[in-house]
Amino acid sequence: MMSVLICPVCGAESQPDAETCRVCASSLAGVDPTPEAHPQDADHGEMELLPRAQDDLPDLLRSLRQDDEDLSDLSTPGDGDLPGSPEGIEETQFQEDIEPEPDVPEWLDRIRQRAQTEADAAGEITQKIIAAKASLDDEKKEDQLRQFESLIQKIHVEDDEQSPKDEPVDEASPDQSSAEGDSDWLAKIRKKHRPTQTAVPPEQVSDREGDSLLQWLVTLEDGEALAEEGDEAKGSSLSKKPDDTQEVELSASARESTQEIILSETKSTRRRDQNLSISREEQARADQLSATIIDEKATRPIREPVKDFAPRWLRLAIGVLLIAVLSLALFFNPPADLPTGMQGEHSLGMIAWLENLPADASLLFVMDYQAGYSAEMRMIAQPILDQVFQDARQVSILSAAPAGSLLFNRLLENADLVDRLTIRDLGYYPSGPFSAFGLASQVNPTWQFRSQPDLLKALTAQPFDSILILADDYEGAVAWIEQFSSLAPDTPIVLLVSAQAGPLLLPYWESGQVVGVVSGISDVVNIAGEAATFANRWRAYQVGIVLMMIMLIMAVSFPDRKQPGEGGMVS
Amino acid sequence: MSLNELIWGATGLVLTVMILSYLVGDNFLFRLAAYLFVGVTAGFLTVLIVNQILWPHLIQPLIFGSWEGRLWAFIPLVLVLLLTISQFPRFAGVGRIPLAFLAGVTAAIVIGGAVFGTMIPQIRSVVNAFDPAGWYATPGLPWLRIVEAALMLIGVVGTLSYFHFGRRRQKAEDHSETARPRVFDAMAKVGEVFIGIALGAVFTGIFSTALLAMIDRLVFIGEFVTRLLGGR
Repeated sequence: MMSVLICPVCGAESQPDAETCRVCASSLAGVDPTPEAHPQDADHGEMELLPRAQDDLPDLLRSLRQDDEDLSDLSTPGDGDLPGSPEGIEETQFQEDIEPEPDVPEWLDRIRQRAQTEADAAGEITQKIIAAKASLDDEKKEDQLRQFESLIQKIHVEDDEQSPKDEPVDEASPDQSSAEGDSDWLAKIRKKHRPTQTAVPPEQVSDREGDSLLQWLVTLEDGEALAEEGDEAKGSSLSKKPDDTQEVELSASARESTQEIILSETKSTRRRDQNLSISREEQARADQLSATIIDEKATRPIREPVKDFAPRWLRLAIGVLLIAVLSLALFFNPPADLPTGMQGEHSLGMIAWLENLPADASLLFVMDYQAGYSAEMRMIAQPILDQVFQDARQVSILSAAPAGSLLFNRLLENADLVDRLTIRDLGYYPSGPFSAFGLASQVNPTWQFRSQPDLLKALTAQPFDSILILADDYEGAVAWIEQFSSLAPDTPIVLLVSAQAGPLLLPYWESGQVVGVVSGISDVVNIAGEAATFANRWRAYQVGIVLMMIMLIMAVSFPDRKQPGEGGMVS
Repeated sequence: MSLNELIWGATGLVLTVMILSYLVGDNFLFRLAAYLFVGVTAGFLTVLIVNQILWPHLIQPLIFGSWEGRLWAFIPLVLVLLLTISQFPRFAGVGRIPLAFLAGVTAAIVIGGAVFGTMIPQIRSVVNAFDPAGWYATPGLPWLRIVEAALMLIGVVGTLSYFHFGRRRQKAEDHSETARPRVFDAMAKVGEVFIGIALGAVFTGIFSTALLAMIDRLVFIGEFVTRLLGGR
């Protein structure tokens, strides 16, 4: 904590190595340094400064307080801070700051209040903005201080000259005030406090009292100026009071003003220090925050909620209708006649691959589909697996999906071949491109190194004659096709994919990178024919496709009349 | 029906109905089922990663493996540790090392695969479609092969033209707004047709897959209710 020298004359803080006061130029010889209050403890410091401020009051102001206490009985009883006092005005302004504006939303008010109290990112900036504004006010106050300094010195000179003669003040003061161009309230104050001031011994009416009076007048002047501004802005109660009570109020507020003198000086020093610590980046952030607040307060057109084109009851009705029709097709209709002899060329490639598959072939199954698609994938893969497993073959499983092993076991449940097969589970490999590259690079001799991890050794312990990729989406299958077709082009790849992945994967069959593709239930029906065991599902599938076409035609016939960009659900 | 089948069948039935309740809009039952699936999936995935990746491929080689295996396992261990301690703000910078390694290797693998596994083979496929030897290699009408090759070429050029956003070169002092070259503009119109057909096929496939999933759920409900009532 840094120590400062407090001037015994004016009470201003100066640097510890200073020889004279920076405010009144009084000698600081023999003054012991005092620890400086920390700026972060400003609130506590203000509370602690109050009793000290009363102790440090000059005798002149103590007499003023006594006089004010006598006169305060004439003012409104029970009032705490009079509206005319600077402290009262500050509190009024503070209340004005935290009171929510009528057109500002509640959340913005909460942000502002939090920013004034908490020291987070936004709060720190806001507090610095407030400190910067306060420093500007302090600079104005210093200017007024300098202007009043010459005036008060003249008043002192005049008092020294007039006090022995006991001349009535009400004659000289208005002239002096009018000569200096001051307002009437200064003359009234001088008139009111003349007896007390003259009661003080002349040696005590030194620069100390004069400066304290000066600061008190400055504070008083600030308070009146603020009150005038407040009157113009919002019509405060100060301007509504008659002129004869103004004098009493100002006198009653003198006690608070004398305390405010020391507090305002301490605040001034602290705020000046805070002002200096604002960097350019912080200033830019403050500007950005201000712009954000302005943008938040800007009025925008309220978007009217667009009525949903497809209301809830309509969606519910269509959903129930679809379920009912599919259920009828599933459970209350005779099995459909499955089509035969309509295989596509990509399906014929699958059949050719099956016919040429050696009995002792080693196959790798890449399980890359989620459990939600297990129904379709089971329908697609079951006829192919039945033919593949007619002979005992060596089978390895690599799971690119978390439940790959479980899904493969479910595929084999109905095949009744689990005991006849030698199944090797290679485990779960989350990233398709990495595992495909790792496996394909081991097939290619140019990528084999003398030393490699045990993981890759396990992958290539048994060469694979073919790879069957069971995938429910395009990306998963493409990663394997790309890596194997570029690094191990001699390894045949067979695709068993869902209907949503088939159209995008057919070009790989056209280019010869894949020897066969079975996509969706329609391909399986054409391959299996009468051997398929899902005739009822095929019937329901056909009905569902017809319903989809009807709904599409209806959507085209009765389009949504909303314009693009209006929001809401676009049918 | 055994007790085990009854419990799990009823659980599946209730969860299926909760998911289907989305037909009446977002509701508590649907959200409850969705949260349940997410939670179960997260727990299953955590156990799976520990059991099938961290233990066999990282911890086991470090403890029981050979010196060569330990050395290979030490590399990912260091990367894992760097990524872990980068979660502390003071050491946030060290996380860039494993992330940079991961990004670099991923880019190399994916770009290499896309170039040598998709672009070059697909370009070669389009070119080979005009090989006269191929027209007569397989049974069928040769002119159909020619038409197919021509359509393929038009589709490729039109689709690439649709994604061509270049502008005509102008003189330096000419600041008027430029349009796409007319050739690209015309070919882009053709490309729109092919893109529309491709997207329509994808949409049909997605609907088909979803329809089959729904049919499977209906079959499950029907079979469960039938068995519950004593049939089959």
